Amino acid sequence: MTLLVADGLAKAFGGNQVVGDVSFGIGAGEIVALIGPNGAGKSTCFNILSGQVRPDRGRVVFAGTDITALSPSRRWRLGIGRGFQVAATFGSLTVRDNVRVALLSRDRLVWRFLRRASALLSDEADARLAEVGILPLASQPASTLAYGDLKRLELALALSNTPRLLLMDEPTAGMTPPDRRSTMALLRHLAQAHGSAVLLTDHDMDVVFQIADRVLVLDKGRLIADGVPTEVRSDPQVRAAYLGNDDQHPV
Amino acid sequence: MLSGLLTALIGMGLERVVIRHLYRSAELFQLLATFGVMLIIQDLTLLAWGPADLTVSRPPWLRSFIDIAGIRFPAYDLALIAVSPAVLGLLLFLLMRTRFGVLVRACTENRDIAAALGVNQRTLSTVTFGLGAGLAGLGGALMLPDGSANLQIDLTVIVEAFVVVVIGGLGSVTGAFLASILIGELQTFGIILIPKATLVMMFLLMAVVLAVRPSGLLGTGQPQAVRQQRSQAAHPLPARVIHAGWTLIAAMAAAAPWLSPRWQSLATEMMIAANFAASLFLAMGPGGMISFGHAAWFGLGAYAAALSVTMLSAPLPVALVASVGIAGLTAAGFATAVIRLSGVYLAMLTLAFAQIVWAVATQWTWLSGGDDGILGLWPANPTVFFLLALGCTAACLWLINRTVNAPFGLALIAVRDDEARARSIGLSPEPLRIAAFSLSGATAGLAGGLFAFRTGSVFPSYASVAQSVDGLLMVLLGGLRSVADPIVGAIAYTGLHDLLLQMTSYWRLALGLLIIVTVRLFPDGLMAGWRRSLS
Repeated sequence: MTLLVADGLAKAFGGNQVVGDVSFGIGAGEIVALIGPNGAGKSTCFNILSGQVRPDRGRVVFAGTDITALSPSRRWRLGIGRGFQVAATFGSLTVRDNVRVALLSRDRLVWRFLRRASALLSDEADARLAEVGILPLASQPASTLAYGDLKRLELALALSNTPRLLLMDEPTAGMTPPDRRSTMALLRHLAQAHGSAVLLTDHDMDVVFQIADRVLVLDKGRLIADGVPTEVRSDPQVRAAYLGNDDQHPV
Repeated sequence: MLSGLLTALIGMGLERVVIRHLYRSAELFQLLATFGVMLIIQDLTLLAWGPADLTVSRPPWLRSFIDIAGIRFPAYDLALIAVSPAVLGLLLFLLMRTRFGVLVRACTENRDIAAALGVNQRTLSTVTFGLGAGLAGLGGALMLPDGSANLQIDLTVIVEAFVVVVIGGLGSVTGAFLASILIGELQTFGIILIPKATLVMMFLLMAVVLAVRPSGLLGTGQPQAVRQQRSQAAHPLPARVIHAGWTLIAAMAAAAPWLSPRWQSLATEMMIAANFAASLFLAMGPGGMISFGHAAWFGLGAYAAALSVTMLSAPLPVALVASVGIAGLTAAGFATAVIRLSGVYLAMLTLAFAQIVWAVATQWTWLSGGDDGILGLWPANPTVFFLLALGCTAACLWLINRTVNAPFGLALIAVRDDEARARSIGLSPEPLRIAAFSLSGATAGLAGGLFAFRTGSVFPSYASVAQSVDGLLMVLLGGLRSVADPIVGAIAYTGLHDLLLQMTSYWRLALGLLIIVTVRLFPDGLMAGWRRSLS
């Protein structure tokens, strides 16, 4: 069945129609890439799904629940995890505590004033860190991590409640090409291991075509293609959108 | 004019010697250093011109009166009215139309990028600081004939200037101009309409403006909050430090009967200070909510204790419970109302609330005794009280330390570090912050209640700006990494204060110098310096 339905989403900022009437669906366990040239409305679309932006029109339905008006924290409770374009973690906490606080939140243990946090969920936090390959860094403050490790930590945070849908905004932004490939492979592996569907945006088409089951292409706020990578790759409209915009990543 | 130029020069000198070295440290520590400068200048003025007020009469050529619509206006006041728009115009021209102005604004946006583009931001900062100081000096000189030069001018003016800037909107000169006119009118007509509430008016206005327009009248968006170093890790206290703390408390309890009254009194003062500083630390450190008005909760706690003794003849422990309850509940209500604000704006509203508490304590004479205060609260047995204070402090510090290291504290720090990230792992920042702020208010209230019994009296000054600043100094002196930091800061500050008071009558001068030296040597607090030297 369809896990997430975006139905007629539209958003304008100051008279500028950034997203106009976009509809699509994501099935359980599916990996979907949302791509498009700069200014196509990817980020706005993404932010509508994650709850940072309220659409002017349209609705978002997740597993049968209308979540259009729900806060990011409510969406997380329903099973939507997310990653940020610039890796967002808790800089002054250790890497382990970063994951621990997400797990505490999942288990609704946050309102404990007298228990020592360090005695709770350590094993599971370490298991999550091992999963993304940064267990050796567990006791370091997150602010001291290299960017690639930070991205991995963020992935661990996004996966902390074993979400049914993972929203990843440019998960490989700011990485070198080899790093991109390994990060995408890790993302795919973990999403499958946890049974999570993934919606990711990116502008590196090569990487996207390797990992995605399906590709959505946005141009000027409209959905111009929706299909498997090979189909989208040869779509004349997509080629025109990218070449016409003089993008540095031609198909 | 001359005074404007002179203060500009002094300002530039200060920038070179003191402020210059602090641009890399957190803004709060820069603030701390300027408070140090203020203390020094206060004593230097005392040294140079003595404690008496100095007055200046109006210049002869402005002593006449001018008839406008049948009412006689002093020419000097009319000249003043003309001067401020002129200064506003010049400043706007300077900032908006000249190369200097463009550079200053570029530096404000991003010091490093401006420097990379070849702007000599060091000179620029010196000149800007000098300009600010010069204008302030000019303002001071202009108001002299209508008032007098005295030693208490500093805190009053700085608070008013702060309020004006915040109401106008940070970064907007025109906004500040509008706000100062608004406040001037409000104070003039406020005295006629509601004489009992004049002191509160300005802060009520600020509260209303910030509630409606969170970035001030003409401010654009929320500027970056006053940030502490984001990267600084929170340190859980090592077990040996906790053991040392318990040992110290036990030793003090055992030694209590043999301590002389003077030592008991000083130790109690230190405990109360530690209590107060730790509560401020909870709000500012893990909570990330800067409070410039923490004295509000201290004062509320003190009055709650005093009034429950005088009006309800409550026994001492009950009075202390009242302190905690009243301060905590008020803090909870306050936090719920202002939780959407952050950074400087939140800090300013806490200051506003403290000023309201202070004004109520000063003006509602029927309840609080006004400036005469409430007297005769001495506890029956000093040693028993000492032990009680020790117990309360131990409990308070234990609770704060536990909270910070509990899941709640972890979540609170997460919310402070990255709010959007925190929301996206299911945390709701608002309730967490409200709870932390309430707990902070309640513990500060306990400190206030204890202080009422230590001094045997309660005065409006318990809720004053000076009391809030004391708290800030203790916390910043110690550091913000673990609960041990503010405790050390409080003990050091109280001890130094006491020592300097005995040694010299110019204790402000000495304290100010010490603060500046400390900030220079330990740019992130005494305890951070101590940890660095250990490793």
